[in-house]
Amino acid sequence: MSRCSRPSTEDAGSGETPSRTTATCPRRLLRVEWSPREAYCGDRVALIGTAQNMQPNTEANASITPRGATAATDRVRGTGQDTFNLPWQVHNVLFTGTPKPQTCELIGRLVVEGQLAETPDPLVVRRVPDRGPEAVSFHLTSGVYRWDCNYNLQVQNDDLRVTITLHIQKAWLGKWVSFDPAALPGGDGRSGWAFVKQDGATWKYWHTSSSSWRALPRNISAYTVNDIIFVRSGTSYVGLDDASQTWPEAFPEPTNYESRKTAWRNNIQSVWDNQFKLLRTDCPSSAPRSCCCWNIRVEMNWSETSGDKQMYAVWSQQNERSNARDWYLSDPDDGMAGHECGHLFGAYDEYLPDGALDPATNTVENDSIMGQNLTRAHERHFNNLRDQAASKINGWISRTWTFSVVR
Amino acid sequence: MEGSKDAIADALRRMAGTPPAGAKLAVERLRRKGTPGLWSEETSIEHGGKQRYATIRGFVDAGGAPIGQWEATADRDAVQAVAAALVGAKVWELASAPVSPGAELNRWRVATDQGEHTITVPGNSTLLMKLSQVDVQFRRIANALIASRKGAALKCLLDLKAPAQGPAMAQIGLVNEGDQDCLVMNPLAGLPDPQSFLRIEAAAPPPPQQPGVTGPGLRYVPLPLPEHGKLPDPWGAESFVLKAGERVVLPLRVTIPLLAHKGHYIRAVYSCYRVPATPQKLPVVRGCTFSTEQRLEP
Repeated sequence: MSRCSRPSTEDAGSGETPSRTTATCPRRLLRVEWSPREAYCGDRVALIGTAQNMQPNTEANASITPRGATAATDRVRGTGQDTFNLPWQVHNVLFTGTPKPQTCELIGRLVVEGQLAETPDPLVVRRVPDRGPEAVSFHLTSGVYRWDCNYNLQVQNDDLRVTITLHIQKAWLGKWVSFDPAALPGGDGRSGWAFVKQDGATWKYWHTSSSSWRALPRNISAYTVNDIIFVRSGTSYVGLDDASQTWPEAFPEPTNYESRKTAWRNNIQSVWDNQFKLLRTDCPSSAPRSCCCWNIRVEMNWSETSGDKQMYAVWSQQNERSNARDWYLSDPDDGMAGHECGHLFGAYDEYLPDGALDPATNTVENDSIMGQNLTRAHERHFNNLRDQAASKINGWISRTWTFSVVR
Repeated sequence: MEGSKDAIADALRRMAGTPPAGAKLAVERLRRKGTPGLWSEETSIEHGGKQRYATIRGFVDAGGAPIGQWEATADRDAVQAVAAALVGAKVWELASAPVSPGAELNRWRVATDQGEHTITVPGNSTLLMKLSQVDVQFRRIANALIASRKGAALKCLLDLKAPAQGPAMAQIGLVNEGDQDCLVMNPLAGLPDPQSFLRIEAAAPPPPQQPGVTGPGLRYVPLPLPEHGKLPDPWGAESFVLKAGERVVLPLRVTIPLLAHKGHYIRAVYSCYRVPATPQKLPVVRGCTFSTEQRLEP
């Protein structure tokens, strides 16, 4: 069998490489192209070569190189005669530059029997596209507990951006007790109920008939004391959950409203922002976290007009403990803000008794922002956020990638 | 067992009248709140059985209420009164509502021989008002149990001495006001955590409330315990037994700053939510309890 002379490498890139020789060997044409021509990391593509007059089982070698680069990303080989199918799984494709490019073009070069062909069109590898914020909304249940999770997700360069706007309103806490109609000292000698407040160390009730505050007949600990949240309506303060109730006088304007908002936001940012990464677990790239990995950036903002979640900054006479909706201006623990915001992202409680535990794991941990000590975030707290992000990303690119959250 | 509304209503009406012999009625009332859940109280009564009350912290951090567990034979009149209040509220027609995490959880569980009915609602539910007379009865049961001392009852004591010259000094004590020995979790032992402390607190007198405006209440700030080495028993152990009626005093005197000698209110606080590592035979008392406040006269 005669051998044809080798082509000049200057011919590379023409897509079709005819032999320059006028030797007696038959003319052999070699072409190569990508199939398909667009892909995401992890997709399976192929370099399809076509040739004429090749011997059976001719060896083919290919290199895959980013456009403009000199070093190959990968090499593949195979055999064929008239056609060469060299499969390749997209991986190790780095999107570098500022701003980060949306695509990376890969050139395939096929060498068969000394002939070289280059893909006339590159393989366009896309990264997860930058998107504007998209709303996420779901609810969680745990035993008797139920709550809504609302925020916005977007991918921007290397970041998964989680933005949440809390619609904050001022509110005030009042209290009420029911009277025991039994005679004193075991009861109050009267029935019904009344608003109560503390005046110095004295607990007083609102005596409707005389429109005045009077000392409670018994020690405050002898009553079942209930809370009622009020919001301002004109010059009155009406019940937030029962608008038929009106506090009998005015409440003061909270003096620490802005400073507590700042402290709460700082806590939320420090607990959740830039602590974790969303990592694609089925990314085939060899260098971990070099691709398919996003910093989870959290930004929480206040709004007094609208937001993803309505909550209340509540003034109270005594130190109170906050919950998902009512954040007490008297609550001394800033970690409460990170905790409650964790619920909004989809995290469960991790304290006993009666926490809203993850029904799948019943995880309890004190050293946790969701636990007894309101300390730090753990990867598992973003499990629901991870699932929401996976749903979004897979929807955007029509894939079924899997993800985890890592520190 | 969920029973029909009518059957439960009939059972409750019978119980509110003349309870038939052998008829069954058990009612539980649970309140919890906080992130984490620091406040809790649970009261129950069973016809022909027991009435019980347990709390880890009263719902108002004032008044000097004890924490612990109490139990006595159920008062027949109390059973009838609870049943009557449930009938008055038509409890069988009331339904549960979702509770968000950390929000006050309220639960009433009614078990009759005709079926059970449970209502769980958050603290902002209007059902609290509808069931307020039921709660009056439960509060009466709790108050009666505390007064009877039938149980393990931890109370925090404040010993405040204000000499004519120099700063006032305060000491913290604990007393078991129940008739049962109990195991008290020691907040001064073990790894520190934000909810474990034994301390003196002071609150400046708030300005007089202006007519027509609800002013701030007392805002207590903790005063530091003096530096100390190893404390004598029982203060070195993670828990200790406090016998019925026994009183222990922390052998540390807290100096009240002279700045507080302007009508400040002083109180002592015990707080420890830990649980023993192993099951205990004695009732375990844990939670948070406040002494009654005393005022340092100006």
